[in-house]
Amino acid sequence: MKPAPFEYIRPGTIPEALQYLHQWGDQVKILAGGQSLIPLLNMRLAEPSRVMDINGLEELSGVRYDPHTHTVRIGALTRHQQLIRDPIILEHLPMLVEAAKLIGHLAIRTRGTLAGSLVHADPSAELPLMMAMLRGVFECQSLEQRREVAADDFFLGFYMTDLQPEELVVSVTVPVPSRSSGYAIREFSRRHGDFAIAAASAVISTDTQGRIVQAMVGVGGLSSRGMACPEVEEALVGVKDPQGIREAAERLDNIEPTDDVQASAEFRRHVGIELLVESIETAYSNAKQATKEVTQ
Amino acid sequence: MGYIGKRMTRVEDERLVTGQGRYVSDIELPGTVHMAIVRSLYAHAEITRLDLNQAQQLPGVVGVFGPKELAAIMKPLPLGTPDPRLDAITPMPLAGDRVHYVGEPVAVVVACDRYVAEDAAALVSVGYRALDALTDPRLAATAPPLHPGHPSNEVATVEYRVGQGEEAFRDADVVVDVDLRLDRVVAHPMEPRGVVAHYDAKTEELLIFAGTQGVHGYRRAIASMLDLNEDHVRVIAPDTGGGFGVKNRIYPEDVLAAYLSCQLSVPVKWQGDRSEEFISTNQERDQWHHARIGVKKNGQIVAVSDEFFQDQGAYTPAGIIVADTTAICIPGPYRVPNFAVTGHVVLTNKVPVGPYRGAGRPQGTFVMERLLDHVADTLGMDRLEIRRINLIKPEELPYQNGLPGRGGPMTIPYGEFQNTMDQVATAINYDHYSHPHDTRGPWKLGVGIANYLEMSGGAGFEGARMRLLDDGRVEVATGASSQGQGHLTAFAQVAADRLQLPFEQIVVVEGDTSAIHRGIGTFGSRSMMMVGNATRMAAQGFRTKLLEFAAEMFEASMDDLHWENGTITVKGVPSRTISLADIATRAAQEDRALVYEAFYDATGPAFGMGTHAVVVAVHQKTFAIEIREYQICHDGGVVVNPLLADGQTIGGTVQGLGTALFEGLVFDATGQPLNATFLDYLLPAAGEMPDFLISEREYPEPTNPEGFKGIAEGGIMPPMAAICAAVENALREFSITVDQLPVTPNYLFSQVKEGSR
Repeated sequence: MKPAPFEYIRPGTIPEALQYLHQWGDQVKILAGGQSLIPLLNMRLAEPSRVMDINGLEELSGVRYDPHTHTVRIGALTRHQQLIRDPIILEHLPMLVEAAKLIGHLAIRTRGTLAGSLVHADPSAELPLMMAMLRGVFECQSLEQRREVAADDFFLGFYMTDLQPEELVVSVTVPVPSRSSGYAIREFSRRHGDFAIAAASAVISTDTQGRIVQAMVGVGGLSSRGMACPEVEEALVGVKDPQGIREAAERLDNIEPTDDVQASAEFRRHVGIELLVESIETAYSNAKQATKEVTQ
Repeated sequence: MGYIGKRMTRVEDERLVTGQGRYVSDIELPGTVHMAIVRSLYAHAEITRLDLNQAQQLPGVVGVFGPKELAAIMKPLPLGTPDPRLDAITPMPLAGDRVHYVGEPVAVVVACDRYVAEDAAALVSVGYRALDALTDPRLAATAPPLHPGHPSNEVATVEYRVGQGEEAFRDADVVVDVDLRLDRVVAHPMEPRGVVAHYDAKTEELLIFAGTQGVHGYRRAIASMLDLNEDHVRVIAPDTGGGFGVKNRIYPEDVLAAYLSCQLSVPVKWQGDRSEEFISTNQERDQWHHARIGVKKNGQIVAVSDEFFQDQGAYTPAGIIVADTTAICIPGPYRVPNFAVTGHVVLTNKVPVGPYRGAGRPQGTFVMERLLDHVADTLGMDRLEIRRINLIKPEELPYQNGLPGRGGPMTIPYGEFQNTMDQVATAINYDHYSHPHDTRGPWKLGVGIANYLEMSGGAGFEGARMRLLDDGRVEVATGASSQGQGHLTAFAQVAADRLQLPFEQIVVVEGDTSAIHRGIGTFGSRSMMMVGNATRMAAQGFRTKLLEFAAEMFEASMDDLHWENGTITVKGVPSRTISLADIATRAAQEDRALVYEAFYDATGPAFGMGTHAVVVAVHQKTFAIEIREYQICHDGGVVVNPLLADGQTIGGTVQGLGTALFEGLVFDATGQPLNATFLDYLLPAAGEMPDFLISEREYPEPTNPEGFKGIAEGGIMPPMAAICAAVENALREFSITVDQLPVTPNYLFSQVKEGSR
């Protein structure tokens, strides 16, 4: 369990990092928190000839709220544990705090980074699911251009993203949901800290009559990627009872989960829908409460 | 002095928890070279080509070796526990022209460090011609033999019959058949296997550091493989991070490191990693049972029978101890007048099976306890009541169940079985949970209970060698070394009491063939029974020896001397007092060694007993399983250190809960393991474990002078059955059976779905 030889480089600035990526492209693996890459290297499942350590790039850290666009920009190197403690995240994106708490164990959360999890694109991971649901926008930078990619276009499949070999994810910008919305995240795993067998999250807004006016819904572990569920979101609009919520969630029934040693496809689908129902119900109930508080 | 029975903290802990431990991987002798193994990628294949050339040319490589280069050691490894019923097949250090499981060593690389060794291993080119793999022992039994020259893959059949056996079922009112499955589990000591071998060409001595459970057996096996005189081999087990049975014998890597050190005359080190632990170290459980119980209408057992298949993997390195122990442990603490068991030990294309904590005891317990639950359900009888009826009663003791138990007829000396079970049932509020109660909400509660009879030790000998050190402390050396059990504390407690010395004056030394010339090792819950009683014997002789020496010094008769708390006084003359340190000084001046050793021979196994009860909550929608309460009552005989005894009980129980709920190595049809990492193979973790509430019984064992019993395997025996019972109870509205381990939410989901079809 020792990695194959590689060249190690630790750039001091983003341009330096982009220059290196420009030159070596897909020969390079980027080391951020190392929570996935290091095991892959040690087990020789990945044998890159070059590893670029971006932990020295301070510009990749930091969380900023922009009141004009009503968005939060989160630096790529933000550790999961920082997400949990950051006052801006806590105020504007509290659902990310809940999601980050579900990631692995303290040691993993202390090292693991936002962009590291996103570009690794494990279909069961919490942050891809959250970004897909919240419609996060990824800032991908290369030496020659800077482009913005919507989360739904970013995640392509199992461990596959739209990120190009010469690009670095610099930040993610997340629209802040309405203050009167409610949210919830639920996941199912065998042990604390394991990757979820299935996960679901919802952000719901209601009108004063308790009807759902807007819904954001996402699932993880149920297909090749963390994803938003537009068909469930559409079906939820106008709903105001548990029956309607379950019917909307069951729109997910056509999904084709993976069958592996942890769970059969059938069980994953079953649990996924149950978690989705539960998270929508909780988010809905929180939304009604929040709407009441805002209108009072 | 009263140390026996005292809840003392471990003297070894400060060193270990402050990082001062010295494990095999910490040992780096000057000039060490590192070994990496090229392992089979196929479960069953012919090797058509082995090209070492490219690997040999990598800078830093010392040598690359296949079976041709190592012809001198290409012979089968010694068999552990030979048995006339077994057609034994042990592996050679490297596979020859065929591989038989994924992970079998094919070639070995030696290089300047482990990184280069692994780089070179990747450059060894092996040609495979894949053959059909056998992955199910029920089919493999009649499939063409895996090993040429051996007539059948069923290498042994274990059979016992008590009373009228199967024929007795005709007298039963109710007969229930149950199919049971225990999955394959991996022991996973915290420290993977490893070895450092150092052959000194000048002295012609081979020094080996290995985390083995028995240094003397290890030495004998290595000496025989290398054709060396045992006197030229010294084996040291340094700090060792867990063994659980799988570090009890030598493996191919041990022979390779030892031989290559002799050939290269430099220290050779192999430190197995976690990936290798998954595909090279003996595994266990992995049985399929078809069991049957017949009872009278009143619940009284008429007969029990069982036919099972032991998936043995590709070789029989440790004999058939697992299957044999499974068979004889089925009746447990119950009165089973008629009994028949047939165990088929069958080779497959998997890692070999060898004892892992329990070594058949958990399997036997699982069979019997599941049978009782199912037959109680069929009779409409309470699951506790059927046990109460069939547990051996105190007035029937000592009880012989008609089966052999390690050398003689199995004789259960004492145990208050009903009483113990009832106490645990009361403690866990069994009546409340087992009967219909408030079932609102998604979490459904259920209770399960299981009894066990823990057979421990029972064979061989073990020694204690006492020596007076220069400072007056007493060294106690033994061949049964520790892998975390706390021997340095517990053996010292016994020695201090029997020598009537302060605890601090005892130094326990273990894990070194130079410290004592004979020994067997630590396994089968034998160490305290064996070493404890040997210590008692040695203490008597050693004390006499010191008194004789003191008598010489005082020119007094031994009868006139008084021994107390490390000093010897001439009776009635307090001024004539000497300490053991004084004696040591005098002995050193006279160049006399004050040493006494004694060996205790086993007189058959000890029998402890106990009950586990668990309350689980099962989520009605996701089938998540949570343990809400866990009660244990455990008979440990005379307990030397209750803190360590609790640790053994809890540790074993947690491992049992792993087998019950989480662990199972999964293979595809070609014999590839599908979950051989800790990402996918789930060990029980702290977050899922409950607080264990333990009460102790102390029924002294009558067959040894100290009254000690082994206590390391009781914990791992009943959790599987208790969990299955509790989960069934929780999901009673679905009327499903839970007879397959591990019990996963996915399995429950499919059982419920199956049931509703």
